[in-house]
Amino acid sequence: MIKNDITIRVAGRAGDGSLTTADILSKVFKNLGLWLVTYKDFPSNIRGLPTNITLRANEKRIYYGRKDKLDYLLAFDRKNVELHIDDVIENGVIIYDNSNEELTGELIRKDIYYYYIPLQSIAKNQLGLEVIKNIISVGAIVYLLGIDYERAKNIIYEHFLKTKGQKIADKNLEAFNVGYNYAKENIKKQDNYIVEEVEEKIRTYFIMGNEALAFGAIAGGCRFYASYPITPASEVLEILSEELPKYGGVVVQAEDEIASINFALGAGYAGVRAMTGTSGPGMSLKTETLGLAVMNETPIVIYLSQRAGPSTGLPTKVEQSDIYHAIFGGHGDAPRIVIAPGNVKEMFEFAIIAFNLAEKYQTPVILLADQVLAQNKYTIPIEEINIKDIKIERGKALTQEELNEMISRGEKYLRYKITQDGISPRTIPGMEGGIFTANSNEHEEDGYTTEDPKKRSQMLEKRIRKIYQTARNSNDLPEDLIFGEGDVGLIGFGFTYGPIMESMERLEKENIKVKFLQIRTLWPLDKEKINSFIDSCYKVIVVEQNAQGQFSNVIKMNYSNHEKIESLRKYDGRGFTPGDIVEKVKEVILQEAKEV
Amino acid sequence: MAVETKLKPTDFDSHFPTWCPGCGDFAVLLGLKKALAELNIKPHEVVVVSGIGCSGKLSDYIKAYGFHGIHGRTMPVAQAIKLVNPNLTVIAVGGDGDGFAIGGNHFIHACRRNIDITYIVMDNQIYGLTKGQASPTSLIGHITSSTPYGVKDSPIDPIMIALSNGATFVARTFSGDGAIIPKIFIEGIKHKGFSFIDDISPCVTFNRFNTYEWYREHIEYVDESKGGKRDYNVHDRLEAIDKVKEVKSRGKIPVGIIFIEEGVPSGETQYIKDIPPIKSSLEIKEEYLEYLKQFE
Repeated sequence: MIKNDITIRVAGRAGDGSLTTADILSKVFKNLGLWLVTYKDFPSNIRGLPTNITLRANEKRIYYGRKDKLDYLLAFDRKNVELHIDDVIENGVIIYDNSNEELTGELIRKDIYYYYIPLQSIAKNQLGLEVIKNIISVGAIVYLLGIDYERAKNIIYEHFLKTKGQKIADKNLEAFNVGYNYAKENIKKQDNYIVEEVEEKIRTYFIMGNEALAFGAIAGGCRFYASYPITPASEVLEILSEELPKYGGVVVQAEDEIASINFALGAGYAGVRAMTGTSGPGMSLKTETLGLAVMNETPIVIYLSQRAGPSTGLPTKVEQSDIYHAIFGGHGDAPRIVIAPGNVKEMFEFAIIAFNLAEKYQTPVILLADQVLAQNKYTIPIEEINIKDIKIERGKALTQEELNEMISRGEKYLRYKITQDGISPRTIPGMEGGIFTANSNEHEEDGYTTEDPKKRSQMLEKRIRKIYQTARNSNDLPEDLIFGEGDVGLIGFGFTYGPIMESMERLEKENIKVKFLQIRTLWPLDKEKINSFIDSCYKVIVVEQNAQGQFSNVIKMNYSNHEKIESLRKYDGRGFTPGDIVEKVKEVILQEAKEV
Repeated sequence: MAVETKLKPTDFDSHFPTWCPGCGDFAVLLGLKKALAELNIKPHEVVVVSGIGCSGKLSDYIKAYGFHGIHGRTMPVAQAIKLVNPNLTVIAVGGDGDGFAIGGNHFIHACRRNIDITYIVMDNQIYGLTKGQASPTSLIGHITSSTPYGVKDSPIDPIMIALSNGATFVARTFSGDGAIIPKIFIEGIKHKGFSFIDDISPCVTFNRFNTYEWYREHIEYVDESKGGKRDYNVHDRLEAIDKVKEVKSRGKIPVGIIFIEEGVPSGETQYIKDIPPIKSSLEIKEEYLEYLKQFE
């Protein structure tokens, strides 16, 4: 028996209700106390194209929704068996809706179990409602996994009652029963998977990365959000549109990406914590304004949820190919801060940190995530979303009283005063005695345009100094973390945290020791820490979801022994599996053995 | 208690402009100072958001909070400032290239949002700061450095854009009639909602065709500003559109207050629920945790 460790993929066409199937199953699993993660792999399409979602459930904590192989595949049609059959593990299961055609030839594998259920026909003939076929499948899966009938039934009924009302709840319950009973009467269970209640349950949230980030932003004092709809960032716009007004905030769905960042920047200038959110295509359009925020030293948070590019690319698929853009993008010398959460807890926390950094250093801060983190759901212990210890730090923002005092001392208020740490006192419109121009031109200490060579150099050096020295040497930037030990090192950031951690667990079982440096501040880099990490390794593997090895190249800018740095890359729109990383580590170790 | 003295235009003095002598932008700058003084709005309660181009330098030349942004993006910045802090008087200024070419999209959407800002465009039908290329309001056939065979595209009509997209105050001023400018600016600033004022601001260096003299021959006041007569209902959007069409059909340029719609709630009142963002607390309330319960 394989208990409480299952990966289920629900695969259909957009419109088949695959997402709902996984959603309902997740509610059942969560109620039983399992840890869950999803991996959404959907097309940029509303109806018709193949789509799938993978749901993993485990009694141990898991961080990533994509496993090397599937245990269960629920396929609503033949095409989806074709697409996913190779991913099914030996002795795994395919549940197939054979309403329209039977499986033949290569689609019959001898090493897996097939359960045929004419879902669509049953839905149509018995229930008179075709779209409900997905709930029938939930009933069947509940039976097949040996889950307590009453328990599952109640969870599902309550869910629909709460969200859709009695009538729809009754209908769904009927569908669930039909599926459960069909499986009970017609299917002889042959596979080994079962799901049971976990003994020691802890309280968790099952939350999407974008949801965690949006709430982190609210908790971090964000009171203005402007955005333009784009995958995979739109959920933040939707959530904040509903939630932010409750906290005295304003949300603008702007006419375009450029407008949305300028809205956010105007709001930041006017004195509130402001954010804009986007993905690669939008970031390309916003980049001129990013430079403006650097130039006029206005706090702003830019949420960049990466997807596969360039151009429109693969709009709903993951990639980490905006590294160069995030850290170098734009014209001129424009230092900025880029921080990268690696899991759902950090999606929440970094949203708070980002606003403190933006205000303290009067700078744009890019919150760099990716589609896997953004759009998948993760279980997280409720105490990890901690709002009790949040500290709002506004840096050198002056109050009217402080400004009055400054003026009464005979000091002239200068918005861009050259200071040792590069950060100047800041006023906002409406403050008496604090007038200045936030200028896109190079400017003097009061903001007035200048082309004086000396003043220009001083002002540029100040902007560079506050990021590369003051911020870098502070404790304000999220520290890069080291996990495990060994003489092969892995370096990663963002969603690869999940597959890397899982690969390490597997390697450990085989007595292969590796350590992992999770980069959490992508810019300015903690060069010392990175370099000493590389020094301590025989070889490091930079794990990154892009084709050019963008991050390994950035590391090589600061590390001379390039021979030591390998990069593991993937760019097919599907995130690394833990197995991909295990394989690469073994390859490097084998190489090491040969060389020794 | 000290009696507050009435503000003077010179209270808004800042650096002296580097515009060419005779530039139409001087009249806008002076008109704006006069209007703000007349309205007794203190310099620190005013934000001037400016675009790029000669006209965009205006924020450097007036004592007020300034935001000299990037090319074409005054509208979103200005609207955001008003949304965050409605107590501020927000004036956006720019040129015809800034507002109708690179920033055209934002102009349209600012009209429909009707947020209470005043947008003054110094329209000279040419790109001045880049030395004389055609602009979106240049007339067909105009030979410029970028159109040696003459402008081919028909000009944008910003007044019609504003009228057809929901702006609730639409006016045009002429820098050659400096005395009238502050009066119209005052009305625009007082108006609750999006006020658009297209100022004809001749470029004396790069536009040798649309000169002060040329404009004097072509403008026609549609209101009583300069001995004219209002012969339509200024509060009726369709009548205003008809009037503009009629004036244009005679080869003339309509000037004066063209349209005012009152009673439309201004945009910021629609966006702000109870308290404006600037006054909202950064702490979060207990409901926050309540909301998270849905994920349990």
